[in-house]
Amino acid sequence: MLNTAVKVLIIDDMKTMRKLVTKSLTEMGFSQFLEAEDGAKGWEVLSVNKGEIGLVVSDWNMPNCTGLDLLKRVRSDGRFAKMPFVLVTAESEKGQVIEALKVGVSAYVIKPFDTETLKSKLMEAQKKMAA
Amino acid sequence: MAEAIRVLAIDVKPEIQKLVKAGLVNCSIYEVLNSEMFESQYESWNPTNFDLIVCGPGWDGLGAGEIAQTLKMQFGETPILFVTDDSHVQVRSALQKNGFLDLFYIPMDTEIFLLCLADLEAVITGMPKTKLIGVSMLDISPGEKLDFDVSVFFPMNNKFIKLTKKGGQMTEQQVGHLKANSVSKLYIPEDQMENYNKYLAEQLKKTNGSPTEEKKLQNTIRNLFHDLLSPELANIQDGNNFSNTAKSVVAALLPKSPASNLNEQLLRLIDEHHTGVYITSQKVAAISGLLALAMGLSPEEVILSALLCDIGLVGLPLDLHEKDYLTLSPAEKEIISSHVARTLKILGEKKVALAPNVRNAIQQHHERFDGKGFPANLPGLKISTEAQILSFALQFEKYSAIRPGQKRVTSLEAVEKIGSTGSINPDIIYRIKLLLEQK
Repeated sequence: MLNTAVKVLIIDDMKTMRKLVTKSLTEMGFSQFLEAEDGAKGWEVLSVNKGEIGLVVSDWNMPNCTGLDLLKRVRSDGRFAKMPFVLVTAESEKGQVIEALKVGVSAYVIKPFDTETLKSKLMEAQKKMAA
Repeated sequence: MAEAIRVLAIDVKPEIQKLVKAGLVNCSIYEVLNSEMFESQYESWNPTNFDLIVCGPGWDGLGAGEIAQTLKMQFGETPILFVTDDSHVQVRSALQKNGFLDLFYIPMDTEIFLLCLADLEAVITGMPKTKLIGVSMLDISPGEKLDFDVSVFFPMNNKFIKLTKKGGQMTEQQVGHLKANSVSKLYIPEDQMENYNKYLAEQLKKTNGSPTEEKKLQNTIRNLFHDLLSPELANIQDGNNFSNTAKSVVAALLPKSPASNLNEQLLRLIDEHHTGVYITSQKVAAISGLLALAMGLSPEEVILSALLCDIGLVGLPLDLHEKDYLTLSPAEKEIISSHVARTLKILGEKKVALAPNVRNAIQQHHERFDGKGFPANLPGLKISTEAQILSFALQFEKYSAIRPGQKRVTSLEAVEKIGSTGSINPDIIYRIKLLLEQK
């Protein structure tokens, strides 16, 4: 069962993609969102809003701190050890997913994706972090 | 009337939209003029709205990459093409990663863009469409009967126009018009390429020594070389088309004899799965034969040498043969060198009688003009001309191979690169450059 009561941090350098992800999440029942346009800004938002954010959906390829680099930072900070963190990747980055798994990504989804696919990945992420 | 293709055009200039209309039999275009229009509408789009998307560079704050990624999310498999007249260089792989099927620069890629549109239209509408293959302009004489359709691309109205149907002839007026407009390319339907290849092969045999016929022959040979390294011949199907052309050339230049059938028979006998060596030897034979013909040498012996010289490779690690011999380890050099003796041993066991020039060419085809070749380190003029032609052809064939991500070079660039290796007599390089540079 997907917990949609949490606040979601959406990180992507593309405004249009942030909008599409927000739309998908809204369809699933989420209603609280924060946004950031790269990994560095994402870290700022997380730090300022610690405790309030319950899920991160981040693009991989961004200028000024990639999604993977942000994930490393998040997992090395004890405050966010159990934060469900989903990475959105392009097909060609599949080989790097192993690295992300080692760092502690909760789930990953490959672009393009539909709402159902994203939903199942979010459920996977929340279940993994709750265990 | 074909079903209308619904095209979504995002930041596409009017001239390029005209091209889209020219390239599709029947289409309607919905134009997105600015980023505000895009941002207010994209979330409502889905694959039922449009069949094809054509996209330009985008706008400040909303570039082509973001547009493509967004559209890919909304449209899934709908083809998205990047088309621009902006000379700012975009990297194909980066654009494809974002979701574009391909990219086109206008006007340089106009013909390829139109062919791509025609192919997509056929797929989208389910209508059968014959692919047109571009070939270098033939030196066609008026009144000559042609066993294939001939079309030409007219840039004035961005259309392919059929000049003559299969079984027909070109008129004086048509030939004159093509020459006056410096047309360099003709288009043949893919399913008629075999007939075209036969015609081309006949052109190679047709010389009575007169200057006109000699010039025609040189033109035909030069155009074949340019087609071999054409940037458009960049997919496997077009590579197969050239293999078929090579076979026709070889068949035209090599009289039927027991030895001429030996290549195929031997390879099939020795190793049924080594078709790669067979196909390569056909291409190398065609290149060698054309060069010999252009230089006034008899093509038969060179072609036979090319067909037979690498039989000894079968069973050896082929990846070693792909590498530069000078970079191999001593053990690897020994393995590769052995194929020359292996070839002659196999031919001896099969009791194949070889003319001296053919034997020498096979023996010496890996010798280098600078003396660093194998098996005997023969230097300079001790290597036969036939062997040098074969050595050149082997290297030239490698430049024609399709390697994903590798930029195609022109035929002249390939000759320069081969010339710079020191493996070929500079006089031969000079003569080949002269052949390819002639207009």
